[in-house]
Amino acid sequence: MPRRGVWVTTLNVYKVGDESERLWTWFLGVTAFIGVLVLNILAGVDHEYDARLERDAARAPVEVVETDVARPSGEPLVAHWTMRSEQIDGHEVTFEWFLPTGSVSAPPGSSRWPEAGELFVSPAVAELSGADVYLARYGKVVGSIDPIVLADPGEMIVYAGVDSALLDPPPYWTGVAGFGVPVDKGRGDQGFIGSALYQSSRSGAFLLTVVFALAPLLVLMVVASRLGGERRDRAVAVATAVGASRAQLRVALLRATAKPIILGGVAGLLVVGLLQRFEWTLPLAGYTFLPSTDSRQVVTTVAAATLACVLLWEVLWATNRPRRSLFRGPRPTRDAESVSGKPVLGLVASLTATNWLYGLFFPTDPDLAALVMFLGAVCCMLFLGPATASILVAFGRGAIRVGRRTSRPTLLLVGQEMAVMSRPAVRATVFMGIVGLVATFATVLATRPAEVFVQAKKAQVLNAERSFVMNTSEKAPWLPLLESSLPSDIHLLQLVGGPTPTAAAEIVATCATQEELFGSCVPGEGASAPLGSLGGDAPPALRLWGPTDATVVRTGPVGPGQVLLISGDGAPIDPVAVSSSARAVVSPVPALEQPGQTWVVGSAVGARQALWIVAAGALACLLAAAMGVASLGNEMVRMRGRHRIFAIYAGSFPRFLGLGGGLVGLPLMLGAALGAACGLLISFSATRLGAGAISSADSVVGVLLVVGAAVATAATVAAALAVRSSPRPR
Amino acid sequence: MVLKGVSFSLDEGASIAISGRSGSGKSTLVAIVSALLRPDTGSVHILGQDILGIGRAGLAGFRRNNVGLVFQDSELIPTMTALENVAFPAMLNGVPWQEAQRRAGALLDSLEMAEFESSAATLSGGEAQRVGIARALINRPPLVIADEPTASLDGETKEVVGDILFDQCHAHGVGLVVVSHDQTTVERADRQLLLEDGSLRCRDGVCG
Repeated sequence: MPRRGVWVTTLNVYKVGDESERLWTWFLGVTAFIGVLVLNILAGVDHEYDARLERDAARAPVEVVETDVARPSGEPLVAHWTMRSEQIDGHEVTFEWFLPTGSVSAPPGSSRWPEAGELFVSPAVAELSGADVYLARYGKVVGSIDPIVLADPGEMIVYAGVDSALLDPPPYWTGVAGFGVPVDKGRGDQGFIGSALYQSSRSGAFLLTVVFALAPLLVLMVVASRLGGERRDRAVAVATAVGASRAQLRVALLRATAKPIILGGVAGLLVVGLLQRFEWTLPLAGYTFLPSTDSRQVVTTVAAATLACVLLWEVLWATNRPRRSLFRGPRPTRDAESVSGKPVLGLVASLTATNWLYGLFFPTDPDLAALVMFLGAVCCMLFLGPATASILVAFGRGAIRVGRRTSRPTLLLVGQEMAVMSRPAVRATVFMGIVGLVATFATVLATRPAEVFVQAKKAQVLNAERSFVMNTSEKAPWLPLLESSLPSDIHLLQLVGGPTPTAAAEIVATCATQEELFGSCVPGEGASAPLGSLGGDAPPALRLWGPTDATVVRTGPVGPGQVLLISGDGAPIDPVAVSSSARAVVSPVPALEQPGQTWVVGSAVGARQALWIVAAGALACLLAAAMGVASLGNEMVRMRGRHRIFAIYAGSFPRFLGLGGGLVGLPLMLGAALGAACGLLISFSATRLGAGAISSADSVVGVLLVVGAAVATAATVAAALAVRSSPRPR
Repeated sequence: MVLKGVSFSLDEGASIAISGRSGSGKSTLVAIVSALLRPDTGSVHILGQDILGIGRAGLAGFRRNNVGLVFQDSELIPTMTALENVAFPAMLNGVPWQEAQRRAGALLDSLEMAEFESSAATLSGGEAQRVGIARALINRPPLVIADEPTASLDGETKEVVGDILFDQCHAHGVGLVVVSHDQTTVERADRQLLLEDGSLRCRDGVCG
């Protein structure tokens, strides 16, 4: 008895049984595979984000606060604790100083409390270049911190012990009753998303993933779903006309596509399952995923895989369901009549507005500026296709004129195809353009040096090791003791804050030091003198000592509570020797910073952010390239059917190459060049205002151009071969 | 094996109609005679030339100069105008655009096509087939091969296109091989052959 209703088996309208159908089902499988991977990586990042918050909370000290009603005073004090950040080899390292007093045997991750002059370091700190020399300022490394307590395997922390007899007075110290505080999920915007963007926001990560991963994934799904769609549309229109219901069509579509989607999804699930058994790091981004033992993640993984497959299937239905337009006028219209130059103007306007808005917001709200830039990139992607079509129409009209004038049939044919069918011809081109745009955008942001970093580097070089800033409290009673213990050619100056930030700033220094450095000593109260009285154009910024007057440079003001150490004879200051002298008078030893070091750190942070941009850009490029290949494959099938007469009469292979180059290679190169130009132009303000980090993008952009040319050449040859092997007409 | 020892001759300006059941090998025969398909075994001589000895590029030149093709679905390039479609094979043969345009215009005029600059995609079935016939004649070939030229057309248009095809070939002194199921079209040919079991024989015992 035949089955009836929506499960009727004979409704195979989505199976047209040609090459385009094979390509379609194959790409659906690949898309399902990529979709499962992308959604699981996104779910994995969120899961790992929470895990990092939990590990961080488990290691956080429980502060003893008298006024805290939730934690009664009288709770046993186990240690005094303080922390600060310092820079080693351009990386931010957190130093936690402990003075144990109670019963807790050790801080999390170490075997015992560090004693005065002892350090426990995390593995990533031990691997830093120059770490051993730097850490010698504070003592000797006696052990390592177990990575299991770290938020991220790359987290950089140091546990250091202090001498109780030389304690620097409050506000440095906090009483600690133990370790481990409740996880504050509301702190999501201050959490950890990776060692690269150590404290970037969850919303920032969300924005990155939406722009670079989810949006391209959806576009990939749409492209894969529409491969060879014209023939299916006709079959669906006929089926609808003879009475097929929407439910029957949905079932028919499910029957035609379930196998590749399920196979692709299961393959993706297997890869995800394999990855979850090992520790692995997202390429370039430095985001490490630890092996998961959480059973809840199995549910998340399966749910993400199911969601990817369902999402793909819904996109399939949305793009392959019956359309009323198929029943309208039978005569096609020429694209050239509806293509205008407006998209080119839109593209130029997007680029201009993005650069202007970025420059407007960057000084006040860098997050908003970044959002403007990402939205600008999205606008460029949207305008890229129509703008390329407009340019191709103009090119096609020119090619028709030249083809007729020079009697070149291939050029005439290429011109007519461009002018009339620019939109279909531009499909693959758009993806090539997106690859160019994203790759260039990410590369430029990641590699162009910013002015501030260059300037800072100069300051650092000029002041190299001849001046240091020591961070301490405004009234440090041990300073005279420290100065007397230092070599005589090292001078200390302290800037003391006053009622207003500028007028009342004063330098505190011995009169001998003032005479040594400034040539005079203004008699006054004790050893202090108003900064403005030192003559010249001295502002509330200090002139730092250099080897000669010509290399003296100005830097930002030394803030209240900071002490400037200056080499009197221009010889380098040995920070280890200074720290050793300091260890005899105060604990913990104050940190020494070279002027300009802040910029170096800023540069390092920028570089790590750039790695994320490059990683996200690489993912987007991968998806765009997959879309490009899919679209190109569809275009080849279309060309084989469309140019049969050319295949019959053309003859020599150069003619086929000319057709392939004109219809595929040239548009691809145009799209790539336009995309790359957009990438460069959209990053213009950001680069000028200092969002880049590394040395130069020229070589990377050069490689991209070579790759683009190679892809266009390969596509040209493939198109030529496809047309030459065109099936003969009946 | 679809075809066995098939051989026929055609005088200048004469026509042959080949008919047969679906799957009898008509299209295969047409593809071989058009130099679009190489047989697995045997030899093919057209206009005194052994076409199996000609390379791929040479075959295209042979087709351009010697064989005009008319297809069931016209196979026009949809982005080109009617005039450009007709002129295209001549341009591929090295004829300058101005001359190719003149020849194409004259042919289309003789086929009573007024809208030369209409896009091929906007032509009706009858108009498209007229353009296809003009394209087959543009290089003045000695032979035109038409594969089901009227199968997609309605009754009245079928007659008009059949008239044009036979009249034009006769007027230009071109031999015509037409493969068709249509009785009216077949009966217009000078000779009528039936392809059956891989061999050609006279239709109903009458070879015209």
